Amino acid sequence: MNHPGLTSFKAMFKRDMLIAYRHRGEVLNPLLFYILVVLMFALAVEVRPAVLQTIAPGVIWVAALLSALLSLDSLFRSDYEDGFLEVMLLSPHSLYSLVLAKVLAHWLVSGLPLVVIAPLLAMALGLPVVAMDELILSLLLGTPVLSLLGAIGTALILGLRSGGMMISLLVLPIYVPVLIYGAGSISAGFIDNATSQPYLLFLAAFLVMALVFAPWATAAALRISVE
Amino acid sequence: MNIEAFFEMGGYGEFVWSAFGLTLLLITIEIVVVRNQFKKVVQRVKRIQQLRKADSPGGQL
Amino acid sequence: MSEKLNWFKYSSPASFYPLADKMIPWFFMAAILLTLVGLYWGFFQTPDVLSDQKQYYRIIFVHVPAAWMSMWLYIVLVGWSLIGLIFNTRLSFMLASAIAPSGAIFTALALVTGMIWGKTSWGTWWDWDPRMTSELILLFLYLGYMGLQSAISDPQRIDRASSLLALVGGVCIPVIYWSINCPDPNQCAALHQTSSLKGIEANILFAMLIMVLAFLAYSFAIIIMRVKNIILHRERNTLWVTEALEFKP
Repeated sequence: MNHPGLTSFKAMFKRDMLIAYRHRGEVLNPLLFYILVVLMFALAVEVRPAVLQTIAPGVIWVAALLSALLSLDSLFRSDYEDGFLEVMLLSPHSLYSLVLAKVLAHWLVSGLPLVVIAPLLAMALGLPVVAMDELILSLLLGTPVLSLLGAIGTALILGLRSGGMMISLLVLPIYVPVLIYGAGSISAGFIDNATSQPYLLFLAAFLVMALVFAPWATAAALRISVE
Repeated sequence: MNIEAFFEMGGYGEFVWSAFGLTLLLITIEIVVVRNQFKKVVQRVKRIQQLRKADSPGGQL
Repeated sequence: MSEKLNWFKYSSPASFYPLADKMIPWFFMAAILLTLVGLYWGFFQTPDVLSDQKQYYRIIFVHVPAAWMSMWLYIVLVGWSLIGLIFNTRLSFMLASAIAPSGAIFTALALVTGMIWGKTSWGTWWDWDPRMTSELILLFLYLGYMGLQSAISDPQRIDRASSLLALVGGVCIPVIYWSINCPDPNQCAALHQTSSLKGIEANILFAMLIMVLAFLAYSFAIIIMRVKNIILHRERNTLWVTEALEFKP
């Protein structure tokens, strides 16, 4: 017996994944951007291992933030332009589950690759191996939050001419806690797992709260923007 | 406290008075800006009224 | 029945406007009076318990009121946004829009006076302590709100979108503050250079609180002034605005 919300969720998810697959060239952009930003930092900072190591968590996380901001534009843009978004809003399906499906698909395509590539980049920055699992876990927990919160921002500025600056201004303040605990967890990971655990628990809590509230706020923003 | 001590503020005069001066400056600017806004809005509304009167012959409103 | 009518009596721009006109001078006078009292008390009635080394503490007579107002005004902004969304009253949204610039100015003022304070008391202009960093984020929340408003031209959308933004920011503020204040969950040591209200000498505290009230009165005055402008602009096509301005030169 299928819950109606679940059916629409699956359908929306499949559609978005299919679209992403068809445009798989574009999908690489956030990932390449991420890699470039991290490498730029590595080049700009003196490659004394001790220095690079201490800033590595921050660099990894700020780059992830910037990459997320960059990729958010594609979340609703094409649906808005071809009118599918209005269909979504008019449909009897729960907007919450439709939004959640879109964000999940978006994260799989723009956030998860960052998690996968991060260990390689971390080694380039000289991150000690002991902090690797914090690196992966923090990004795994944090990047979905970035997608979820970012969706609210994108939905608010849908159709406006403002461009990249506006989304950054709106969304970066609410990214701050994720950044602090995300980068903090990796730094704590230099010491041991027990120290980093509270950080990761905070990130997990953020994820749960974002899963509950963000799609709802995004749906409200979509209604406001499209009506 | 004599006048000199008032300005000197124990050697911190420049800090204390620039803080107060800045406050006064920002508040003054804010008031001036809002008042200018008011004048502009009033002008605009009046212009709209005039245009409306011109549009409808007989000056009905 | 009459109570219900009274509650919404001033909630229409047309009925609020004349009331606003009357209130503004009173609030300005109150602000000026309170400022004079507060500063007099702060400068001349505080016994020289502190040696000359610490005369810079007088900065708190503008720093603390600015900081408190910046936070309080955001809460009020969120409140009016919420009321607007729930009751669909245009005036609520106008008030929220009118609050934002004042809030931003107070936040900026709090930051700059805070930097001056930091320079005098701890030696550095900025040291990333939790309160100042949160204040900085608050500035961006205000700027984001104002930026969003200026980017949208559709009147329906502008009110609801910025209200939603304010709400999201408002809900996130405790989290933001907590995360900055407690970046290391293992120890959660509050770094803000021990400034609580407990240690302050009575006269200084009194003067400071008077200044807070002064800033509050000023906020009322300037925000109501600003909302008048917003009302006139938005209601420019209505009859009552035409009549109201007929008597102006």
